Amino acid sequence: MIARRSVWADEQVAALAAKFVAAADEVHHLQHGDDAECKLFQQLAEQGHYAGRTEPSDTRQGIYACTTTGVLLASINTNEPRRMRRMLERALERWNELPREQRVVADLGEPDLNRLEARYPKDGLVLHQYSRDLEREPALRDWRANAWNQDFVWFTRAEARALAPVTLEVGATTPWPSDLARRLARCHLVDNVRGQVSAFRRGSVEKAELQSCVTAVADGRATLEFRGVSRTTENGAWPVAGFKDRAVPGEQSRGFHAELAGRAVFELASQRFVEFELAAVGLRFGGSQFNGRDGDLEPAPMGVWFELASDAPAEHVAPALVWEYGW
Amino acid sequence: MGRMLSLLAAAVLTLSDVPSVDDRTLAEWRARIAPAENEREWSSIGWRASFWAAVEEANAAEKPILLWAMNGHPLGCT
Repeated sequence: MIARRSVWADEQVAALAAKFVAAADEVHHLQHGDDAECKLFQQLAEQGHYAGRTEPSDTRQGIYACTTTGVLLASINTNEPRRMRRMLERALERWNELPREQRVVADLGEPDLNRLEARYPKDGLVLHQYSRDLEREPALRDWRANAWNQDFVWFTRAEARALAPVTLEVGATTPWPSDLARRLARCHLVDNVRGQVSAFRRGSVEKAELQSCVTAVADGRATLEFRGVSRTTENGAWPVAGFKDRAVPGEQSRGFHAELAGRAVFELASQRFVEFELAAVGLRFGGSQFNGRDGDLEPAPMGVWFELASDAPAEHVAPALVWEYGW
Repeated sequence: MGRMLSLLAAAVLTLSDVPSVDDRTLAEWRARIAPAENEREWSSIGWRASFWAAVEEANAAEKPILLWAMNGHPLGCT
């Protein structure tokens, strides 16, 4: 996450990156899948910076420069722009030395790929989600002060329709279906500001209630307002300091107690949301193994913002916890 | 022990300055939480959302691939 601001925002790195076809992807899938895309990555990764590594984990995450033929040009895992620039320069030098037959494949074919994005609900509702810490005393002074993260939220067409009253007339109200409100609480009202977290267990949702109210109907569109509350509290024993306390995880408690408010516009003809904004604001507490809260476990303010995602391919990325959806 | 921690957390919560969603307008919450323009510079690189999308494009254009592979999709939650 730090790389977003430290490496990829660097002008010289961006200029070098423009000489490549750039892609971002989820490493666990690439590392453990068995389709052509994953096998090509596995071939490259075992030539790279983490080749053969098993401790502290077997991850092969990082930045790889390569050819479509499976030649690794260079690789690294760094948040330092200077080191990234050097890696990219080395990769380009090696690329320029390669004969054409090692640069491109004559026929890639059309392999069947096993990707979560195949479930993208193109006729449903897709939200872009952002999370960030809110003002606190004393204020943080390092990168954590402005840390933010993002995710995507998916609803099928039927699920999205169920967020609005059946009869779209002024004053009509409806609660969000419990399973959808609870799914939002478990999978999206989570503390991922500094890094990934797992979903809250089903039993950790103390309250997840949202209500939609039609406030106006005009020109074939219904305007809705949302109000709600979410309270999650999870107790147990798990690590909160990456790999440091993995062997002896302590007793922990984590959660997010939030109020929600928002508005949306639902188009009657298409039966789809054409505007959508939702804010969740409250106190988070605790941490998990990889969300960077070690030393910051006490309750503190956090906000989560949801808005319509665009239809750009870069916004077709699956929600981080989509397997919890039960689709 | 877990229950004790939960009770402790709940007690602290009641004593804390709890933010309310009504403290700001939706536009103000968006401005506070969503990334500002200068925090979106990383996306100007034009990332394809999958490795294979880059493989196909790079092969056709005869260009090298730059792959950013992380635990959690870098264009999503990482």
